[in-house]
Amino acid sequence: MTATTVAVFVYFRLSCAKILYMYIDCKEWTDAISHAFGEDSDMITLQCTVAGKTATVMFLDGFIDKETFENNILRPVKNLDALEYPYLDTIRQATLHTTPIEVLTDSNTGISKLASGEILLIIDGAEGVLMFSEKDYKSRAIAEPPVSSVLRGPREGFVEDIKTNVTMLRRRLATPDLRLVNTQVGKYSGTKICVAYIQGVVEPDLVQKVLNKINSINIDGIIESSYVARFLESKPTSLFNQVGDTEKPDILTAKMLEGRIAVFVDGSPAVLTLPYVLYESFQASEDYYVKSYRASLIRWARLFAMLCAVILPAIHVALAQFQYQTIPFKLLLPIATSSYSLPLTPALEMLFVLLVFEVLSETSIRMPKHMGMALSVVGAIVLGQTAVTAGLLSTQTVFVIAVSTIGVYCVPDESNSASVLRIVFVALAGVLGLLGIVLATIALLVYLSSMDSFGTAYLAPFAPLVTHDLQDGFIKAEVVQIKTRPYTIPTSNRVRMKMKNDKKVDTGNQNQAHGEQSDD
Amino acid sequence: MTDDNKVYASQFLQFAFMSTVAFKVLMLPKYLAIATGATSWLIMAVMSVIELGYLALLYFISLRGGVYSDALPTAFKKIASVAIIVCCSVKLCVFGGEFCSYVGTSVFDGVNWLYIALALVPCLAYVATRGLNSLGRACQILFWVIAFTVIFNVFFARLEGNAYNLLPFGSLTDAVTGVDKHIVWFADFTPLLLVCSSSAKRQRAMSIFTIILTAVFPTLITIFFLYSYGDGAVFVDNAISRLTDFHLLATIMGKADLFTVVSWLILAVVKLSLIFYALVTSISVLIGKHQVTPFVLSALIILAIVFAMRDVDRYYAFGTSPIRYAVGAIEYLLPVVTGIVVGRKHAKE
Repeated sequence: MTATTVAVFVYFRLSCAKILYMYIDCKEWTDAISHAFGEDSDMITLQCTVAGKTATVMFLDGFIDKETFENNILRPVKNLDALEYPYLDTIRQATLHTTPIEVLTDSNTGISKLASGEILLIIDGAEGVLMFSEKDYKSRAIAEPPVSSVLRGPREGFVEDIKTNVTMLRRRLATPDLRLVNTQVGKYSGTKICVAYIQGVVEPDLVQKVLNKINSINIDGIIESSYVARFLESKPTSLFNQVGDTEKPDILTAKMLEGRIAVFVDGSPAVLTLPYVLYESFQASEDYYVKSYRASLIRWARLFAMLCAVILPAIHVALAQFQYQTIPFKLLLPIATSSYSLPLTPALEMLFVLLVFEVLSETSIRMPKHMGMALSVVGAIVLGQTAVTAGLLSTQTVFVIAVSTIGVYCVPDESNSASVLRIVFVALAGVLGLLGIVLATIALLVYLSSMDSFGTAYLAPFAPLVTHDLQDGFIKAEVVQIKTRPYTIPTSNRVRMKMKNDKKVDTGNQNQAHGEQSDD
Repeated sequence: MTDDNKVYASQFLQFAFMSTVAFKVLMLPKYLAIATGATSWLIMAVMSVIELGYLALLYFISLRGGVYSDALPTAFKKIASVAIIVCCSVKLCVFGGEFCSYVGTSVFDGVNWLYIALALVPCLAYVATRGLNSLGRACQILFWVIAFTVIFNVFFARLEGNAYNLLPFGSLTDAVTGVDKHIVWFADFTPLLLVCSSSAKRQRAMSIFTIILTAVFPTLITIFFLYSYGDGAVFVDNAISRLTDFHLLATIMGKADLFTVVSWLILAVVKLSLIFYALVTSISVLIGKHQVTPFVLSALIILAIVFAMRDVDRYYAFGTSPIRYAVGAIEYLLPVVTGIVVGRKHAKE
């Protein structure tokens, strides 16, 4: 081989080396990104040189850990004497970074990544735009969620940052079987969504159904997880939730271990869980941390509270207005005496008080804290005592509504539906009495029975009756006695626990989970 | 046929229980007492045993997809649908009238039947459109209300009566006349022909308990009714409600029938919903499925109950008119014929 041939070969190789990589035009990229963000933005653009080549660093102000970026990445890069293709290898060796460097070749992707808080290093002539991830933005501290207080048990709650939330879950599920599928939804918000499940526990078809539904969301922005929940529900206009949510990592872990899927939404502390059954509202994390006797008692108390919340006002109206013959005589006398001179019928009186209590509860959430004392006085004394004394309301009505309102918030997950339902029941009782209550109850039960959450019957394990799952029902078994996962939730592995000297655990009929035609 | 008629075996039995009990424990004990005297409890027992046999036949049919199964010939399904429409229409009018009569006099103090029908029928239509599997699930929860009521009443029962009120038995002719006249009130299982259920392998104890309860409950109510009221039974309406007059709590509180009233209303609404579902589905088999069918049917039922039935005497006269023979024939022959057709079809396969 002659020297000429060798020289031509070397030149050709060097040329090919240049041809194999797309050249990045720094000015072109910078202009494209600046144009996309417009003049009025919080984007910071730094011009510099890297090994004699023009470079631009772009990032959004307030999103990054500037100190780490400057010390570990920018300074080493700027101190480079030479850059050889591929630039990524050289820069990777020169810098310290805990997240992989990505190479972007599409400006739209670059714009999207920049908007998500990444850092772009655009070097003129490079094979691609280098993307670094050194996010450090302020988020709320981990604290106990306001609606999930416990006397015993963890008090950590999820926050608005998805990474923090996923990390909290990781701490409780230290297993490589924890799968996290990341996606992004929302044309303008670019909200990060993470679908988490335990491989080998969850039903694979269920995961795919959830992912398909999330990926089919086409919306301008996702503000909170409830937006995603509406898209996941089969009846988004229903009064009842068909997707569960929790703000506590211990509750989420427990639900995932039963075979459920978790959906994290960036910007929301409420993590979605599915499938969801109505009975979950009556379960609390503390039930699993105390003795089963106490847990059973409390669950019956919650059921009683919910019944009182929804039906007690309606029963009072029906009996006082129509079926007073069913009231015992000793009770009938004071009711008749107190309601004799009232200007309103029992139904209208009850609806009026319900409305006032709804206004009160809404005001108590929205008002400034330093007004709390004044409003408590107004609510308790003025509305309660004074209205009764003035003959506008009866004592029984105020008592019934107070009991009902306490019952509504005893089951906080169903407080929204309960507060609406009680108004409907009171209205029906005012027109149709006991008949109206019975008809409404039957219609409501049939409606709930027709609902499902990703194939799981909404009223399971009570309708259809799944006797195996009653061990975690209103008579709760101890943790050591619950050896298999609930049949109500589809799962690919029914066994939860094995103890010494256990006989083979009866896993039952796998299909019973969704209340399909398998047997019970 | 859609899948909304698929239920579990336990739900099938709950339908059977609620269908059988609802309108056998209200006015029928009085009617039988008038027609047959003390023999009425024996008649109720014998008819319950016969219905238990039919229950087994209907279960056999439901395991194979019901009367409107895709495997059965279309011609047979159309004939069956006509029969079911006739039978269920009559029953809906009679029992709807009985429901309005009870509610209008015992739950309310003299209320126009129009208001009761306007409240009842839309509920029936809604439940029917949701399908039997939803109703079956709802029944599994409603059953606990009824069970609680039974336990509550048994716990506080006060037996004041005379065992000799249960005797003497009348002649066989009287008994046959009594059954003949009130045939519409028996054989409550026609809507269960439409049910498609799975075989029961577990909860055997619960199934046996439900079957026994289905067979025994109407008879027990009739026995207690006669035991308590004796010859005065011919003047006492609403047996199930009147029995609570003999409640320990009634002496303290004045009345203790709230749970009983609620339980009976539940039983009646479930029973009427099953009949309404059978009617709508059978009409769909004949003329195809239309969204307006439940609405039109609801309007017709309301008109029939309010204007045609109108009072106790009218609906009783209608129920005991010659149309009862058509209803009786359909109720007792259709399951047998369906069983034969289903059996032969499956034997061929």
